[in-house]
Amino acid sequence: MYQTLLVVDDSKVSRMMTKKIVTQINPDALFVEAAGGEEALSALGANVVDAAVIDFHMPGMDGLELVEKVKTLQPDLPVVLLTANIQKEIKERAEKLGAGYLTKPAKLEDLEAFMAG
Amino acid sequence: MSELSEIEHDALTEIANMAVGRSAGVLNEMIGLEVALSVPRVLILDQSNLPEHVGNLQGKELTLIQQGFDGPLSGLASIAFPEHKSLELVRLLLGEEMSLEEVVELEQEALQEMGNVILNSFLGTFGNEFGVNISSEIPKFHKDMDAHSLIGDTGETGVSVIFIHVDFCVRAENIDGYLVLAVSIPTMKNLETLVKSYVEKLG
Repeated sequence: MYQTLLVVDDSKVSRMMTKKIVTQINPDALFVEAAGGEEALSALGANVVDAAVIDFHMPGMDGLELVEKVKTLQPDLPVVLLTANIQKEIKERAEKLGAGYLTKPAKLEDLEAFMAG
Repeated sequence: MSELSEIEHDALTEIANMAVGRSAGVLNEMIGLEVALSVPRVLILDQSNLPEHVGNLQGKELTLIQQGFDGPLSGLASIAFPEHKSLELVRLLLGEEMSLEEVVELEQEALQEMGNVILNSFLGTFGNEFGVNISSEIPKFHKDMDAHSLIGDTGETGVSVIFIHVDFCVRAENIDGYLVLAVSIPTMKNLETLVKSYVEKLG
């Protein structure tokens, strides 16, 4: 079970919702938050995290661009794209980059499976 | 929509119904309560005819979340919530433990995220059914709007609108209201091509 999670989403509410569910799964979970791609990359350089949950629709760098950069920096870091965009192409692009794909609203069982590794 | 045959119009309405069903499903998941829905009213019309169809929304103050989209289909998708119910919806979304101050503070972000999920779900259903990728922008939040703002300021003539109106009721919390989706599509020719191809594939 992952302990420290990087949560990237431009919506504070969405980050709150993700953290709420993850805390239900692992009450001891710790979070590093970022509201965008650049902030996430800085956070990743300054913190050790076990996994990352990344939104797709964000101003500036989108989630898939961020996944690509994260995977270049830390190829073994488990990453999941959490997005409201249900289109197959987005799922395929995420999987091609080696990331998981979950749709919003986040569901406990989906995040539980991701957190289990 | 005169370019579409009856069966093609029917197919488009059916996809819109699927999209509404999925959007209602995600709203249900987000607030964790059963959402009773009326049968969606799906209209495809020229934007100049919209005022006569917004009916009981006339004169009401709306909270709007709007999201531009682009690709083989481009336009503007909007979702409207009755303004006086906004805070109750936000409380349902964030949880009862939130104080009123917190709910008020997070109202915009919460409704924006709710709109983001519902609109993407809606547009994504169209993308998946047509087998194309529709890219969408970051949603924008607007308060104190009226029904005419649903389609944005396109500044263009001949823009078509898919207009969907669903009444909803969260009985457990005695909240009732309406959910309106208006999708303005300047690229109607593209939509017609996609619908024709969709129907052809149905055989």
